[in-house]
Amino acid sequence: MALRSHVLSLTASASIAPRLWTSAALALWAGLAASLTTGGCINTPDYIGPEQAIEVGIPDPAMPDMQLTQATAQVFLPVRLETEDEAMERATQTADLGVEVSYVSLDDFDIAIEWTIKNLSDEDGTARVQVNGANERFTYVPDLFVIDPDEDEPPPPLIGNVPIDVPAEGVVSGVFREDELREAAIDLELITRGALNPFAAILDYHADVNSFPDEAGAEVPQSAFGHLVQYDIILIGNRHMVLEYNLRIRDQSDLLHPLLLNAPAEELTEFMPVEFVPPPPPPEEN
Amino acid sequence: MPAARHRAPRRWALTLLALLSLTAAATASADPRHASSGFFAEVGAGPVVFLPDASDSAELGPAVELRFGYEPFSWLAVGAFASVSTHEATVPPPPVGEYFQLFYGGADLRLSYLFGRIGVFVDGRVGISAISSNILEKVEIIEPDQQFGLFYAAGAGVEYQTENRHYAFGLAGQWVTLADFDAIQAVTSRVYLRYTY
Repeated sequence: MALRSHVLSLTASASIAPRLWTSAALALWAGLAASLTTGGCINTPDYIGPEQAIEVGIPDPAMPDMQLTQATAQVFLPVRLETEDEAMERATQTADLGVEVSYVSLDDFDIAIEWTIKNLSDEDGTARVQVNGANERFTYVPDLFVIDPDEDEPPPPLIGNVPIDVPAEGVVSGVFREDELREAAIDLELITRGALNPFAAILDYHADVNSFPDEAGAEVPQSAFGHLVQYDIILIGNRHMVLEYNLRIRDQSDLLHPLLLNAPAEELTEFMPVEFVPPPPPPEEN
Repeated sequence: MPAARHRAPRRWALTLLALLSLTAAATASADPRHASSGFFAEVGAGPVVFLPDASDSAELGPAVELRFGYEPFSWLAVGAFASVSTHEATVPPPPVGEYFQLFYGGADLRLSYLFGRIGVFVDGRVGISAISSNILEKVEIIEPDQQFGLFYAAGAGVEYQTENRHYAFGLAGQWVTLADFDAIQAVTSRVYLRYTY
């Protein structure tokens, strides 16, 4: 009797086991397939890290008796040349919209700037990191908005300028996120083509702006907005400090040259933005 | 004397029992495992750890793998595999807290030896690996615009055949050299589930 029940038990196990195994295997396969599919769809970023760091707190080369408290580095996106088809399509869009459509548009890149400040001195210090820059038409230079240096305060940079405590011989890292750089690009469009006051453009929230009227009254849609193609990264510090940084770029439209900063100059698009000078204020009425 | 006569059949019986036992043992060792053979598929997962100096630039990370193949003999299998592992890049900052993926695809050859339900094996692999970003360019593990590279691996493992003749579990480990990625080396290990059709 005992033998019979044992045999029955084994038979039952044998009939259930394949289902359990099959379910387990299917679950594993599904999980793996999902992982591989997800892995295959990852939008892989490119990192651009200039070799030279930015350094302050050292003698100013121009005036050796003075210490440098501010230093700037410029990074240009290594954008490949525009193809004929792309140029024609863009020209068609420009004609349809009545406003200039950018080659490097807002949705072409998701860019973040990662940075690290090292305080090389043995005293605590304070640093600020600022980012200005240019799209393919205009460069943002805050000082150009100052009419009377004795009275006017320059507008803020496009990004950053928060005081950062850096302990003696310490290291502080941070990041300007993709959404911050995207909004900075929108702000630059608003300041330049939209003729908006830079204080209003930068200090207000504009990430959800879908269009704005330009000075001629034509509506500039978001699809015509340009992204930043030049980044002016500024370190301000009161100690001997070094700023290292890199750009993390998710290239949504395959516009980056595969060799990035190692690409030959003739294979890169040379943007020539002009410094944006605001129109003079209207004459005062007496 | 009668006692001696009684012992003789007992000796014969013992001898016969010993012969039967030996025959049974021989039959058992000659009998292949109770397993299907032919085409198989395998799914596995486990950690990948880089060896110095690459371990300074990339953390240990998880990997998953799919493998398909054919066993022409019980001791030989040829297969093709695809796997992906993900790692935190620990290059000098910046960047901080960034991850990259390594994709592998290739062919392998496995030699097995069976002890009943337990099998041990050694295997070798060769294939192409791809990296998802250029983050290791900073430490010169990859070159500008380099995304693909040759790799090879050698390893060993142990496998257990379940009651169900289609399924087996295994534990495998390998020493991997990413020849075109500055010849960095890694050790992979994984547990896997195998289905033989």
